[in-house]
Amino acid sequence: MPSTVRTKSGIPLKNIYTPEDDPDRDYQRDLGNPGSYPFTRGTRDNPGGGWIQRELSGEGDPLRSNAQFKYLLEMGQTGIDVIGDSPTMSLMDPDHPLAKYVVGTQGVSVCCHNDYRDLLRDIPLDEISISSSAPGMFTVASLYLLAKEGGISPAALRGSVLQWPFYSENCGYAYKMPFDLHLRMSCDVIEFCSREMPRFHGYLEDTYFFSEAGLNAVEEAALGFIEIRHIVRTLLNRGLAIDSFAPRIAILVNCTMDFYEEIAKIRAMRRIFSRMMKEEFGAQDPRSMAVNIACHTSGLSLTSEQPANNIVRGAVQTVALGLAGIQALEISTFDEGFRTPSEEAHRVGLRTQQIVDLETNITKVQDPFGGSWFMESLTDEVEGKILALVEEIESRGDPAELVTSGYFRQFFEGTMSRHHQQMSAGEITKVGLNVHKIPEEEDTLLRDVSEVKIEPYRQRADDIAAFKLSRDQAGVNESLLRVHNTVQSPGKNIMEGVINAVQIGATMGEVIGVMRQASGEPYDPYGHLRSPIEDLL
Amino acid sequence: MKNIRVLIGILGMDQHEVAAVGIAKMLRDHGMEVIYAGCFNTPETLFQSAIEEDVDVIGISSHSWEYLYYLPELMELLAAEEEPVPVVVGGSVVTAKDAQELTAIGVAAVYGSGASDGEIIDSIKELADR
Amino acid sequence: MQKLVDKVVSGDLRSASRLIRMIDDGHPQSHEALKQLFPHCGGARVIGITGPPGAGKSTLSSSLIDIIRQRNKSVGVLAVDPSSPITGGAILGDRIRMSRHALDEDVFIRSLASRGHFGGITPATRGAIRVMDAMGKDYVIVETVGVGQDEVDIARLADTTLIVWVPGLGDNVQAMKAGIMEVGDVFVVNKAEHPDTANTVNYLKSVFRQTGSSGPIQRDWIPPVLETVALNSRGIDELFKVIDEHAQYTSRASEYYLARKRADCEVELRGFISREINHRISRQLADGEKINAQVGQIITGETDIYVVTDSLLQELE
Ligand SMILES: Nc1nc2c(ncn2[C@@H]2O[C@H](COP(=O)(O)OP(=O)(O)O)[C@@H](O)[C@H]2O)c(=O)[nH]1
Ligand SMILES: [Mg+2]
Repeated sequence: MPSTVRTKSGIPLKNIYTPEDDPDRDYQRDLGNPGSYPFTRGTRDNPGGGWIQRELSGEGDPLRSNAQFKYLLEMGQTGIDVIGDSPTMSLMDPDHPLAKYVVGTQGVSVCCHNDYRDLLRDIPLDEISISSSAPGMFTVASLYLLAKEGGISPAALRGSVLQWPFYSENCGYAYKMPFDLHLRMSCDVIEFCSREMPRFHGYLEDTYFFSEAGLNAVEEAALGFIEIRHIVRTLLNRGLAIDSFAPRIAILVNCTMDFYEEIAKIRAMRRIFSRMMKEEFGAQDPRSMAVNIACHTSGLSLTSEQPANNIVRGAVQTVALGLAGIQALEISTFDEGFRTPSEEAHRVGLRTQQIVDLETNITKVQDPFGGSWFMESLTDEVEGKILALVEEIESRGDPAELVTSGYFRQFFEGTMSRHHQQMSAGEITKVGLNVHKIPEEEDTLLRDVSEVKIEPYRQRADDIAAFKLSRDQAGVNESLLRVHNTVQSPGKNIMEGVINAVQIGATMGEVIGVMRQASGEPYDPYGHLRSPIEDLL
Repeated sequence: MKNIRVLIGILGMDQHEVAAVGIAKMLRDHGMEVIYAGCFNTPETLFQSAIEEDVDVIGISSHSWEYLYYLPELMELLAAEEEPVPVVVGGSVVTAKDAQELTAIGVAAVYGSGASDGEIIDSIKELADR
Repeated sequence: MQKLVDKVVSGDLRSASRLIRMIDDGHPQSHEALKQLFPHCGGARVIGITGPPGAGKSTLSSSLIDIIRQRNKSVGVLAVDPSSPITGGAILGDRIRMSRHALDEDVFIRSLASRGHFGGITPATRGAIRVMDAMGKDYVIVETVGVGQDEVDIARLADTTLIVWVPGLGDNVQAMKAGIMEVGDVFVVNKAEHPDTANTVNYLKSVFRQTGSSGPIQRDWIPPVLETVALNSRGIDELFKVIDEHAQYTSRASEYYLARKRADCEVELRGFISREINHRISRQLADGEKINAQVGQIITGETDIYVVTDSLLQELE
């Protein structure tokens, strides 16, 4: 007997499925049409099909990235998706000593309102959705200001910022701040957006970044729902109505090469989300129950070897996502193993999406897998496993305490190590890496493009340092002091003070530094910088 | 009995820990003592840690290009020592050309993404034996 | 060897680090080196920190280093974590929590794996403390993992032993009863931002009130219970003050304190002797010839395992 084939989450796959695999299906209860509860088949009735097509961008300084956006829009991209470089993602200004060799090499360096002005120059903010992985509080502050400066109502802004208080510290980009403060920042942003920017997703639950720590689909979704549930509860405890913010929760998921399971995961997540909002949190507005799902295809599924093969992987993943139905997509590009996307890779990524969208009719039928004995039973199984894992983890204690006690850190170390073991045992097949290898000297196709390095933007550090000297320092300090004091007043929203500070010219690193100080932490966790308001405290 | 001690760390703002954690546990499971230095290291902090911990090998995991700038600095610090600790580097972003350059500045071994556990263990054991 | 010892005494980091390694690896000459270091020791104050994994011991150590450095004193840290009983390997990650001191020349942090010794204290830990002491460190902080009886070990080595606890663990009476209540000089309830903190603190205090008067000699040091948030150094000043007070208390050498010290020392000495005997005998038996010859006879029934043991031991003595 052949050994059982399993999905990455360990669900056995059978060769043939029959009606017996999906015996008591209640269509209205479990599936519903696309756009109706429980939204298993899709968030909305979307007759045209398709999704927001975009590619992850951001490189060098804000103007360089602005040129990238324009290039991608010209190529037919329908939304913008931008990521900061690693200092930016870790709330660090480019003139920090630790940033020196990495400014702008893996994303854009943005640290002040001027930077956002350059970054989004000539971009019609009322027409194009901006999805930003750069720190949410600062993206929102600047978008809000830019809209006002451009005579646009902030209410017209579309896009998203991610919130990751639970996991960023352990397996993403470290904020180096107490969990409580990070959570509060997230909730403040969500609350602010629900009031001032109602079309904007102030809360994108990004399960992508932590799932790249070797998590399977079930683990990815379970950790995502644990965070969603905790954030929603926190917002409700603040006195917000569920329907005031739930319509603007979105989820960014990963998509590996495990074709069927990834489709089942997305279907299951839509159903879990809608039931959670309706049954647990009492949402009434159907929009609160229908979650937008965006996807970033798995970088971990790609190989540095034979990079052209990654184009095929991206295409297969796009097909899976087309069949699952999603609202937005970025494909990890063929050069992912080496760098953030080159111009060539950007184009291929976008073209892949366009080919699937325009040439195949795949998106013209919604949820074509609906009613499949196989897919429905797999969706049920994935859903069951997600819910069981959520319950298992939540039974260990208050999720917030699991964060601070290091439980999740251990969890991720376990999955990282498991991934390593599976790779070295050859349990994960990767063509070109552990099977069907070719000699290194023959592995040339697209290698030249992939291996081109982006030089660090050393000039940025000097520019920002000079900018800091050119400001009205007294005004900046006063605004920072205000942020500091707001943080020390529980129950006050920090957003307003942050908007004020960045408008005056305070940088992200400074604002975050004084927020850390206000919670008894060092201004600079890396021990290099002195707080500008040290003497005022 | 002599146990092999290895310092594993990541330089600069690179925060991709999957490989570093995976390798650390793998080495532990092969009887080595791994001093895990995590992220946000500089050549100076790794150098100092290597001395304080009297390790046999320093292992750098890299998933951003920062290491290309930092490693020459680290190698220079080590070269001034009487018995410089050997340095090994691993990471998917390391190209064949990078590997050559690293070897040229004295890095003892470079592991690409395809390196097997066996290769890594053998090479660390050999370096620790010297 | 003399050169190495001299260099350690002069405070040389590389030599000290190397000697600790030799001790840890059981290098035959390390015993001799430790003897030679003796006249140079006694200056360091040894602070033991123990408690369950994740309680915040390393973070607390880092905060204590801050204070020690503010006072312009030097410090060594020994962070002991368990080795895997199966493979003998270990992952030692405590340094990360103390990374802000990485470049401070007056802070020497060394990670040690327990290498199969229960209680977190390896014979090497004692040796390493001595090396740091001989180097001239004003303080030596020893962090070990412990959740029960095992903590006793660290208390015998440390001048002041801190037991780190976290809110919510307070009701875990079993673990508390099993030894650590007796050996802790100071109890620290870390992560004190937690709402359960007061309960845990009160619980601990009530336990000490009860045990204070038990035992043959009147206890004259009732362990204080302190709250800290190690992550942002809250309560650390107070903690350090108490550590100082405990230092004064021990210098008074009260009857209770001396009795306890005597008892600790006796246990330590007995342990040392039996370990040394064990080592010496194992070394003599190492080549296996003698054993092999006897094993054959035991199997064939020519002689008996009890008889062989007696005669071999007599021969070795
Ligand atoms: N919330 C909170 N977390 C803390 C505190 N002290 C330490 N931690 C965290 O607890 C975890 C374990 O700390 P660590 O010092 O490694 O504990 P150890 O295993 O006892 O050495 C880390 O994530 C620390 O950041 C504290 O006072 N409050
Ligand atoms: Mg520790």
